[in-house]
Amino acid sequence: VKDTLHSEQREIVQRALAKLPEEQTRILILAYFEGLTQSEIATKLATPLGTVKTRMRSGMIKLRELLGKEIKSLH
Amino acid sequence: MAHEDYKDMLTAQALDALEAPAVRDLEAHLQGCAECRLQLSEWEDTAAALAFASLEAKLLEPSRQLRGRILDAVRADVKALETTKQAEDGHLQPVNVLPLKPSRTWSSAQTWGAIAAGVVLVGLVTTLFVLWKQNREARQELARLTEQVRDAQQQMIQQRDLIEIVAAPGARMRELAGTKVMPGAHAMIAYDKTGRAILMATGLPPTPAGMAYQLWFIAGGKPMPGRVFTTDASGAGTFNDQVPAEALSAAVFAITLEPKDGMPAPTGAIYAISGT
Repeated sequence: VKDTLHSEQREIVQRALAKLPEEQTRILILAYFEGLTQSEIATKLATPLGTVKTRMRSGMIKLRELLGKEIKSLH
Repeated sequence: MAHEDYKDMLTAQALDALEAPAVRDLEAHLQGCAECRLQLSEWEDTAAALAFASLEAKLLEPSRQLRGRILDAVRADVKALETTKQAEDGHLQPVNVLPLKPSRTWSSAQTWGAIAAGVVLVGLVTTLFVLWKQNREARQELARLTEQVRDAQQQMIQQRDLIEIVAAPGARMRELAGTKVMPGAHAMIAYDKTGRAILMATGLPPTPAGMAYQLWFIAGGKPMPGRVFTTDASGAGTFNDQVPAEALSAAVFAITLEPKDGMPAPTGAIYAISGT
């Protein structure tokens, strides 16, 4: 049951991520899973720091909209 | 810095992606700004949800304390077994066993001694059995934990692959939605410009014996076979593959059910497919 619940939660988040622009998803994944700062991401992707900041913020806003009420049930 | 500037920093702070000086400035602001504290908490909920995008779905590995406790128990059991075996072989005589003198008739003391020896022998056998059982259970537990660690290592490798692919220039991600055969199925494939790919699927039912799921790359109406894979008990499966050069620029991705060794062309029902 725990595995099934976890699988559903994972699917919800993966569906949401799949709906984000790829550049935003990439930045969120690098920040969250790789633990990179905004400057480090900018260097790694050869992208201006301001662009990274904008995409990170836009990605989080969009992710929150997509997850909506699901967020509380994920925790 | 103005209040609005700090608000813009909250999403990065929730992802722990701010530089150290910015973190110090923001923390000083948060001490006096209840609105930003509340918003940061909400952004942290969103960031935490990303944990569910992880490939890992199981307990990674035992704690160091648990692992140490199990290893100590195994070592103690093995040592006890060796001591008992030596005692039985006569190398180490138990102090509470009386040697029997050769005699045709037993005295009362000898009779009691024999009974005591019998009791000790029964005790030794019982102890030996209990230790053997504990040792076997400990070994089974170790085997289970070893399997978990192996799974976790495999998942970490796949997680690393995903990050490398996603971070590569020109990386692409495509979503595969469940068909009417399995509406709950869902998959995501990420691949870089060299074709190095990783697919993460969920919601797929267990495969029948002798069958497996197979990934297909369809370009110009021509399906090209990908790898076969199975899912775990939760219906999830993750694996690496290579997108053919012909399918790099534009392709439809699909998952079908096929014989376990895979087929050169699709024969089974489509469980999930991407858009064109």
